[in-house]
Amino acid sequence: MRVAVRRVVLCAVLAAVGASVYGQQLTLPRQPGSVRFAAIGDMGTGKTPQYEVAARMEMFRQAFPFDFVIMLGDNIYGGNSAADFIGKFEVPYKPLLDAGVKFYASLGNHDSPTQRVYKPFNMGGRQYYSYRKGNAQFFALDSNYMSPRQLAWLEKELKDSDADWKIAYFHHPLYSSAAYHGSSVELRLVLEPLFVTYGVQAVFAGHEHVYERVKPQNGISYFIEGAAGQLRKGNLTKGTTLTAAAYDQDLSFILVEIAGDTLNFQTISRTGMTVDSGVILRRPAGAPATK
Amino acid sequence: MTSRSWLCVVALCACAVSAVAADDARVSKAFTSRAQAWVESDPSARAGARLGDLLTPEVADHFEKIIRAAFRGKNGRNMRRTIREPVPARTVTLRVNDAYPEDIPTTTMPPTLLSRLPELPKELAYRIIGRALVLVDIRSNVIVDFIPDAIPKVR
Repeated sequence: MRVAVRRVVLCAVLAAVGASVYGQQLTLPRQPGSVRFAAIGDMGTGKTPQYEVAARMEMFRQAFPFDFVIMLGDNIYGGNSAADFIGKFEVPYKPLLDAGVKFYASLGNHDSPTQRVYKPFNMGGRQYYSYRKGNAQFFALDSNYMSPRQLAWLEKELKDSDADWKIAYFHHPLYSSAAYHGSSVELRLVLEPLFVTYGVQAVFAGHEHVYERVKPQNGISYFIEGAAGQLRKGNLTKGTTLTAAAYDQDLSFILVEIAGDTLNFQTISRTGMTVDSGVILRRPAGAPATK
Repeated sequence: MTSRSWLCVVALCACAVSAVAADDARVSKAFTSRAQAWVESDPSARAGARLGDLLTPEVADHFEKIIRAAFRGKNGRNMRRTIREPVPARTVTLRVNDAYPEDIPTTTMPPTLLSRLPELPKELAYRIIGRALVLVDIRSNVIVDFIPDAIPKVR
């Protein structure tokens, strides 16, 4: 309990000190009516680094009021008791939860499937699901178990969606330059053809405890954000042809804003430094996906 | 050998292959029905469940054949990579009706293997722990049954 109190105090101090300073570093356009969210992965440790990233997210939310957070798996490490959910989710993200920010989880390899019924994860009892926010549709997948049933569901959902932006997220990255796990080639074989066929423009994954933005593959932008709770410092293989931008020196999270035909992103470190930012332009419907 | 004899040999082979396929389909169908009945059964009735209740020796033989073929196939190397953990998990003693160990990360089930194994009711899932193929009830995260050495050893 004493540790939890200390962390709340630490978060409050960080928030008070940093809010005004770091809010100025925001590069996102903040257009009225835009879809705004954050992406975090591999965060559920309950340890100080997770709390520090959570506090930084809250600071940035003051300047960039995002409405929801996509969770890229490994949401709760090491157990599924009530205390685990409190110490590894409810306390660190309390300021965000209190502000009405919703969390939409996908399951990682350290997550129990029973997390799907935990209300604040908004999974609605499902291991994979989709939801719409403005002109974007999100597809939260269970990459631990890509069964024929899930693939058939995904194909139907993608086919039926008339959203301008189709965004998929799940735990295991289809492309990765990190040395620890590397690319999930088998998953790529079954998922990428669907993404290409049905116009998915951006994919977010975790699993590697680093940040990486992969050069567009078959017209699709791939992000890895698995460093929102722990870090594998120096784990990225340098000089691969895959990497567009990467960061493995500190923990991080991504902020995203979708406005019309543009998706802006900004990746921020635990200390508030912008480590990557950019814009993705929407491919017109029916435009061929190019490598 | 005359051409008529050759035709007879070919016909016999075709019959044998289709008989094996029909038998495999029968085993898969019987397993799927038993799995569905298990899902619908009263939880209290599952308390006395034992190893091999669902994954009977006949089903285990059938599954091992499927798994061996999948690992020998063109995606075998990728499948090995998919199920490999960088840090080997601790040794687990599996028991029917035990909770799936919380400290053991879930191994990604290779999609190409899932496409070959009989589809389970949505309440159940296949898992791989070490070399065992495990059936888990995802409602409770309890081990329903398992085949101890289903995954072939790395040569």
